[in-house]
Amino acid sequence: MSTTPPLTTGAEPATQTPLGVKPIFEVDDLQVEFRTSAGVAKAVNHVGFSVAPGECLAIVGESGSGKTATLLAALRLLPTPPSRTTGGRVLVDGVDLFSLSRKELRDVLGRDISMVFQDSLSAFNPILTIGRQISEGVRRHRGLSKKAARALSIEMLERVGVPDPQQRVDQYPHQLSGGMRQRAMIAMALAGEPKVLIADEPTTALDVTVQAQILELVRSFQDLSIVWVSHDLGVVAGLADRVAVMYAGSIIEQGPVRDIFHDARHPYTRALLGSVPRLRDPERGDLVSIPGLPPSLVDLPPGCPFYARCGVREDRCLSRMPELVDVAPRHQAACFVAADEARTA
Amino acid sequence: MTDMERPGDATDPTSPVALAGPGETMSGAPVTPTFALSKADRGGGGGRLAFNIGVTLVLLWVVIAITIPWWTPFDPVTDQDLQGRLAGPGGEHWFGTDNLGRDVFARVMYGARLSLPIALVTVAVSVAIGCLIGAVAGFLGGIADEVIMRISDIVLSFPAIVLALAIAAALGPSTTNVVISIAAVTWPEYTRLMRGQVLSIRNNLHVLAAQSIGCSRARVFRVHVLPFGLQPILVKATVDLGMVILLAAGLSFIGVGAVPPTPEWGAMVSEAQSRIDSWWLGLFPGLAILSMVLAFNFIGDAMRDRFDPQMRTQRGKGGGAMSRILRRTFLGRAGERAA
Amino acid sequence: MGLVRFAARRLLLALPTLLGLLVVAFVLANYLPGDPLARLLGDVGGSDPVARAAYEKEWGLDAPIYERFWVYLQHLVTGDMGQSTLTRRGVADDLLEFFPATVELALAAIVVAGVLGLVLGSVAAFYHNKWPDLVVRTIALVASGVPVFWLGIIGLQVFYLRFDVLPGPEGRLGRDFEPPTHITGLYTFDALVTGDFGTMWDAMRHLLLPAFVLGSFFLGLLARMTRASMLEVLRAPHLVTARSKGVSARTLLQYHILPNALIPTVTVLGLAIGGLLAGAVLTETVFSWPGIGRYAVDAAKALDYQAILGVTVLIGAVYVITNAVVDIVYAALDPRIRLGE
Ligand SMILES: Nc1ncnc2c1ncn2[C@@H]1O[C@H](COP(=O)(O)OP(=O)(O)OP(=O)(O)O)[C@@H](O)[C@H]1O
Ligand code: SF4
Ligand SMILES: [Mg+2]
Repeated sequence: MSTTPPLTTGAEPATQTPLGVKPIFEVDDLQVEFRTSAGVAKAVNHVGFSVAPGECLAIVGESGSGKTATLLAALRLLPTPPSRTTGGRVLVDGVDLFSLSRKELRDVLGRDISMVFQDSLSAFNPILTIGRQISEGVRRHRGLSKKAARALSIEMLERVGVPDPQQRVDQYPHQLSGGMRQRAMIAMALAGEPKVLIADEPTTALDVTVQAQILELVRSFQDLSIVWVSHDLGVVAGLADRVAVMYAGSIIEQGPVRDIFHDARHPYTRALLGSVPRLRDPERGDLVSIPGLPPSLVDLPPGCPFYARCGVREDRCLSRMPELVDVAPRHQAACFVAADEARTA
Repeated sequence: MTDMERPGDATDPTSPVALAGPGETMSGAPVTPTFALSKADRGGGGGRLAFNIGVTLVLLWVVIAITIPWWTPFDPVTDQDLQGRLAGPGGEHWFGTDNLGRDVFARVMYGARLSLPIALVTVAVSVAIGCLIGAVAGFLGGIADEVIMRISDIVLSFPAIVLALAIAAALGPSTTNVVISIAAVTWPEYTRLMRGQVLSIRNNLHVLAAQSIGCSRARVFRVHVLPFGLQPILVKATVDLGMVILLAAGLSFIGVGAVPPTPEWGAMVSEAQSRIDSWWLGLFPGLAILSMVLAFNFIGDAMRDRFDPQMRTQRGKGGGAMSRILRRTFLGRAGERAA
Repeated sequence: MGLVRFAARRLLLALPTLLGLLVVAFVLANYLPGDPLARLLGDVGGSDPVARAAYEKEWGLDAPIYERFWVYLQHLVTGDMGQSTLTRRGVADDLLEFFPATVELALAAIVVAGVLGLVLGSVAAFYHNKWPDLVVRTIALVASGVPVFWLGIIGLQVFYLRFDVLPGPEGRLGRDFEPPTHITGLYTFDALVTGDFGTMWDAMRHLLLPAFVLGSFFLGLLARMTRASMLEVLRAPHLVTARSKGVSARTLLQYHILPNALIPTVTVLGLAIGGLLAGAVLTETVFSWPGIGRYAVDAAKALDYQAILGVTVLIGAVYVITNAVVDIVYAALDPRIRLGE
């Protein structure tokens, strides 16, 4: 693959099939804007990635880098004002989500691909029982009877390790503990036996032990393709096959998890990793504290978005946005300097 | 009802329940900005514009109330002209004349001299009594608290206008008695607010003490805690100014408030009732009431948004107003953002 | 089940409040200045020491106040609320006669305010920041500050004087109509049941404007609340979750949007009942509506304490009880309340 000439957009990874397998979930050149009072914020810029069957892709990046916007927009779940998806293509098992009618989209969501959210309390409908909410999707997708769906809900709760599933199934979200609720949400997402699970910071709100249990649980579903958004590099290291790093609405580096942790090429990724042991947020273990701020999404500079904070910047970095190019096998970075280093190496 | 709050309370941003917040039930920062409501979405309306309109209207009425004798030639009571009675608006009499040939414009404008002071005094009395009792309840706690809150619950469950009506009628129709009767039915709401504030301050005082290094506790309390605690009371008092004007006008309309020939708006509408075909008699005093009530509503709503723009959408995110204040105080803006 | 226990607890809690209401009202009625006895017994009887003494004896007026309260309570449980000095009848009889008129008016007002408020609020939310939203917000704003007694007069000037499409302030029925057979005392309902459609139509025509005027404040409040809670729900994270499961549009509306958006609104609607009864004082005065509101005004002006006490207790009791019922309904709808947070 390293022989492929660099493309001009982030579309490249979509053409690239990890391990030569046809990807199950592809996002291609996605662009999302938010209309705000301050102007149009370009929250997602030409983002592309793909996930092979059974693979786990982690997306990391600072708060506000566009991780949630990317995923929600990909599934057409972003509220459309204030957001607008201005371009791109999303394929789930070969089906282009953006070309579907609303009704056809509903057939795919929850059946082929489903989502887990960070805050399980607000992500559940407060006035319906857990069981009803798990049943809801599968009753539609699999045409199950009420009874069968309930049995399935209990079974799913059991599988994700919720104790007393018989009772829990009739309880309301607020009656479960945070960890249990998160398990229930995973049960809900997996009840339709999707091929792809998208998890947006599913463990950030949980304490460390529960977090570890949830990770264990997710790892146990081996055929599942996973997109996992996280602030916690420790989690990412233990879970992901590949990692994509987002900055100011763009993927600026992606590659196999070992490469990212041991051979990061983009200055931002390097700074991020360098900051982990020393500057950890004591409360959350977030990745934080690279001096400076990301650029305003309302008027992004024409050049590299990381320029203002970059330690190795050059004048050419201001001229245009560096595109993602291969810097190692299956490993790309969007940085002029990194690209040169890779070429001369 | 003290230990079982009315459901409405949870949604009322001025209620002590909402301020104390549901605690740290939703740990972390749950909702992406994607779902947060912007200010204008929360039913309040266009924030600053509304505030400006409200303030302008109130100031206008204050100026009118003070200066009116200098720019209308008519006396609202004595200038009667039975020949020119019930003349429609136009010419010399901008708002027409009433049953006795008095100038309706002058009467409406002079009405502000009555309604504004009534509202101010009534609310002041109500706030003073209510807050005092509420503070006592909050600080004493125990049985005293329980008894006080029971009593205020009982008064709150009275039909305010019926009670005010009875009191006003018994004391005899006069503006002073309007003040007394309305204050007598409105104080408990301030009691509840004040008690809630005192309790939340008390509950957070030890946190405060632990964190206030090199800063006297009293000073922290005075500078950083008390002002925030008083905000909801201020907001409520502002909105209540309008409500009192409405209630006072209602009492006068019924005939137990200000009595004719006093140029009081409610009484004027009442006189218009028997002259229903002379539309100008009722229209203008009614509009005067409306403008006043809306003005105070505007200001109150804008203040509510200003003091705590996140009160409704981000409840629970940072564990209530007190912890937000503490964070703001000790961690600076960054601390607030980190929450 | 949680709900039954909750309801029992809530109703039990209402009892002390009810009793407290009685006490406070009673004390007020007894300590407010004026000589009700003189008015009650008339010019002759008031100065007649024998008549005074006899009456004082029956109601224990010479006894200390707590004993008098005890006497009042004893009378109250037998349905005797004392004599009205104004009508010279039993207060209970008066209330029985006038209350249905007020109930009918308040119910009509709730229907008007409820239906319009919910519809307008929802429309505003769905056309967020477009012109329908603006119109609704303006209406709601004005409704929150408009004096009802003034609105009533303006309404009469427009619909009665100017266009003559609605009747004037002549009470519940036109001159040509007889009240229908008394079943509930609600004319529209009684006329419907007895098949007297002409009377029913006339009663409805007389009801329309007063109901709208009385309901105007709650209409605004409801529209505002519905709009706000609808907007909040439309952006609630759990709605995204529901959509991510691919549920049908109908399920989304029926189970995720409407229930969550309408729970707070239903609450306000319930709380409105108490507010509307009290608001009837002004509305009934404008429309010569023969209900307890007007009765209260007349009684207050005549310093008829027994009657005022009766009205206050009645409205207060309705308010306390509806509050309790609303809490219970709320709990039935929202498991977070029912099962504790
Ligand atoms: N409703 C909205 N209106 C305006 N801007 C928005 C809205 N939602 C998101 N944004 C902007 O889009 C950008 C991307 O937000 P997004 O929530 O995707 O970030 P994120 O990477 O998921 O951050 P976090 O780690 O905090 O979840 C942010 O700069 C944010 O300010
Ligand atoms: S492109 Fe230039 S500015 Fe951007 S990260 Fe690379 S070196 Fe730094
Ligand atoms: Mg996010």
